[in-house]
Formats: sequence, structure tokens, C-alpha cells
Amino acid sequence: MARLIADADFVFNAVALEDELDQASMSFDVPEAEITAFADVYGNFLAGKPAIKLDVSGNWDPAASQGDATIFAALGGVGLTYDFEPGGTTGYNGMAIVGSYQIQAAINQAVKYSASFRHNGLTVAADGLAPTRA
Amino acid sequence: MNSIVQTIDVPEAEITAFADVYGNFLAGKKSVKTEIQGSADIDALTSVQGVKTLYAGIGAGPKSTVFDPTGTGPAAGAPEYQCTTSGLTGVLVANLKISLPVGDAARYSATLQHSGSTTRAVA
Repeated sequence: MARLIADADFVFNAVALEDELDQASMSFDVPEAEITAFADVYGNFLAGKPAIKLDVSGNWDPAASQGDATIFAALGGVGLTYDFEPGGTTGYNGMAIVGSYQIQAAINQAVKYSASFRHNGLTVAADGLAPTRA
Repeated sequence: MNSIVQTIDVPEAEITAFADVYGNFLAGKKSVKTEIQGSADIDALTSVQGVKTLYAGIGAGPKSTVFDPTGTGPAAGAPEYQCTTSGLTGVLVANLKISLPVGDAARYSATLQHSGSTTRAVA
């Protein structure tokens, strides 16, 4: 069974952020609608519509067209393209809005940042479609 | 001061409809919060230093702030996050904590809630 060392690629709005990031995660959450009835022996559930959240963190790069400028410009805007490849090859892509952005400056430390993204479409923002796994 | 954390949160308004395959969201209005902490300059409590300035800002309306992570901005590659007082725009001192533990340095921390827009200046 294949095991991959993380060599992730993460691209947001066509800007590759993997040269700044040291951590990236993608969470699929599926609402569980309980339908357990008296006749059931075990708890019984149906799946709702999946939702995706992507969280990244790394070293802050204030240069033009890098992470800081790209993420800040997207705050409060429509969904933009993303591509997340955990091992650097196979991955997921779609559209996402920025949910939060945090810059951390501490004494004797590199300036760090973290951001979270919420999937909201595939080819057009808010089209409600699933990401592509490619 | 020895730590600054600026957080920008964007509400995610869910618009998932029956026809959608995946959860669907729109971005709401941004909210910016800056948390700072450092060593309290007690001798300077009567002069213009951090604790005195923050204390005076409690309930005193919006104030201007500049967060420059590189310390060399504003310039290309060295942005400054600015929240400038204008009407209801500016930062509010939402919290100020002063700690004076026995045998340790006096420290303070504060939370600044931004009201109105925060800009990313590069010039």
C-alpha cells in the first residue's frame, strides 16, 4: 500500500503557496442526519451534503503576488480557484472563499501565518459542485 | 512588545441548496482583531508608553494603528496593515490585562478590535 511523504502543493487563485507553507490540511465533513427508529437495532444515519475546509499555515511572505497579498485581496470576496495536492501529484481542486487569515509576529521568531478556506464550487464560485479529484 | 497576532475572520454564510452537491458558502464582512502582548513599562505609566496609551484608549473611541510585520514598510514586499481613525473607523481597545507576578517581569496584553476598514499599504 502506497504511503506518501508530504510534499504538498497548494495553489490559491493561481498563486503557488507551497514555497511558504509547512502545513496544509483538507477536511471533508458530512452532516449525519439521524433516522434511528424504534425498530432499529443500532443508530441509523443518512449522509447530508459534504462540506470542505482547507487550513494552511507557514512562513509569511509579504512580497507581491505571494501568499500575504493574495489572501488579503481575497478576503470577503467571491470564491477563487484552489488546488491541493498532499503528495505533490494527486489532489483536489475547486473554488473557495477565505474564512480567516492570521499573521503572527513574535520576538526572535519568523513571522508566521495561517489561513482557512471554505470550498464553495468547482468551476464557478458558489456553483455547489464537488471538487475534482485528479 | 514581544508578540503581535492579527486575525481577520470572514463569516461563511451557508447557501447550500437542494440542487447543490457540496456545501455552498458566501463570504460575509471581514472582522479584524489584533492581539498584542509584552513587558509592561511600569516606570513609564505616567508617560507615553504602551500601557498608558492603551489604558487611555479604553472607551475612548476609535484610534489609529499600524501593524508592520517587517518593520520596514510600507513598501513593496513590506506591507503595513493600517486602520486609520476616521469617523467610526479605527481600533477599539477591547481588553487590557496587566500582570504583576511575584518574581517575574510585569507584563501586559491587549486586544484591539478593528472597526471599519483595514488596508494593506505597500507605499
